[in-house]
Amino acid sequence: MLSALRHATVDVSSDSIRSLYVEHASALRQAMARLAPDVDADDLLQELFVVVLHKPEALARADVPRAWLFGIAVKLAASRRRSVRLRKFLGLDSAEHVAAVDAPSRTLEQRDAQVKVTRALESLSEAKRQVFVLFELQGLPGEEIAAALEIPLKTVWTRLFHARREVTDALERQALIEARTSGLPKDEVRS
Amino acid sequence: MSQPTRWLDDPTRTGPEALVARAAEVAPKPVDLHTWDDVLARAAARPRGPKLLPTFVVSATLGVLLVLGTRTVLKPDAPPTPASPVLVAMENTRWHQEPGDLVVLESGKLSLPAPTSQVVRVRTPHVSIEARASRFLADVAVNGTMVFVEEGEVVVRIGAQERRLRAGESLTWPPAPVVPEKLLVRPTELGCSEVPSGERLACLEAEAQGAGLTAQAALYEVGALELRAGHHGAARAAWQSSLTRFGDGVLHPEVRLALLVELVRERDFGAALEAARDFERACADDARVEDVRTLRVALEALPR
Repeated sequence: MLSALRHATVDVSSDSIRSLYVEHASALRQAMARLAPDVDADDLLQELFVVVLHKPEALARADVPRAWLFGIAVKLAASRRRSVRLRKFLGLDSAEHVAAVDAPSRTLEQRDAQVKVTRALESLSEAKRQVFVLFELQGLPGEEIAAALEIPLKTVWTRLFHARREVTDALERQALIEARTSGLPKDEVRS
Repeated sequence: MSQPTRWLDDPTRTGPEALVARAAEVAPKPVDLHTWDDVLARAAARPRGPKLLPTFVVSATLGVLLVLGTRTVLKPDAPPTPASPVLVAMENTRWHQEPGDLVVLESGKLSLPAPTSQVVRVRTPHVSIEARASRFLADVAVNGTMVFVEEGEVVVRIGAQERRLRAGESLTWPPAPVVPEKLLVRPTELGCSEVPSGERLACLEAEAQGAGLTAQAALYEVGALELRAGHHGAARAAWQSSLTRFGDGVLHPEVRLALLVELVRERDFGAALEAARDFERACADDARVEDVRTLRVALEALPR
């Protein structure tokens, strides 16, 4: 009896979870690739939904399912990022396969901008990088970011303020270095 | 507080803001929905099987398998079974197995790359590790053991104490002693302060070739600059060279302290202890000698 009940619960949940997968998987995968560029985003996406399938009760309690999903995505990306770095440091692993997560319609300029922004994000702390990626790149509203990261809304804006300043500085530095090496004016390099 | 405008939606954006907006414009690639079946299959296979099981033959003993990371093929004592937990050890790792599936890791690096339903027990000279349905790394050096949990939860026992580490957490035991605030290296701008930052190291190295106070200051600064760049070995080499050349120079207490702090941070506790004793002997009248003494006592108290 109990096993039948459990089975029924899982079935119902997996249907609704599949709907969430259909709706949010591509954005979640892109967000995780932006948060952890060295990590296989396809694998992270699967891992994320394995977690969801094993925690249907937590999903049921979530006010905004999308925010809850992004919350798990952020934690998974951070954990795997640390893990990959440590494994590389210890010489235990080579680089992971990196999945293609962006639409094929992406232009060269957009690709170039992504490379520069990814490099700039490297200099940010984990907490600031998360807020910046979720707000500026993924376009989540502040309330959802606060729910995803389980922090007050005010903290979201404070972190965003500092993250913006640091990203701006890092991009300016990149432009300056590029200008020095290429001999082009800084503004020309940036655009 | 109202929501700030996203840079992508800000028509007045320029420079870096425009660059970020351009990166944000990129739409995600649609996910192949057939991959949902893979998710279900993965969820059903929990605890996950040893999907990272290396393809090479392994040394199998009672229940725990150890694999050399260099892919050296060892003659197996028994055929591997799919249910056996697999521990991967890097080259030059020293380990042996004791009754009860206890793996004794004497030195080197070892990882459990795939979760297993069986309990995996590892003992190092500093801690005991117990893991089930988790992935972890253990790195044993002369002065301590580092445990990092990649997935699940791992119990680390230190004598009678017990610590539970969750995914993403790490523990290094014994911890390095806390370095008193007064002993920390202050940022300096000794010499070559007019040259662009990219050329400063070369300028300082040239100045360090000379003699007198300028060379002493330059050599100290070379060490500080290398340290800021994350080149720990080069920093230590610069300071050691400074002590060899200017053992009683004006800056020798600063150099000795910088070296001491770096050795503690690098967990080279034996050398740090020597450096602390050396400071106490050479700089007995220095105002910071009490703090060095405190640090030396902490270093002496570390388990051998």
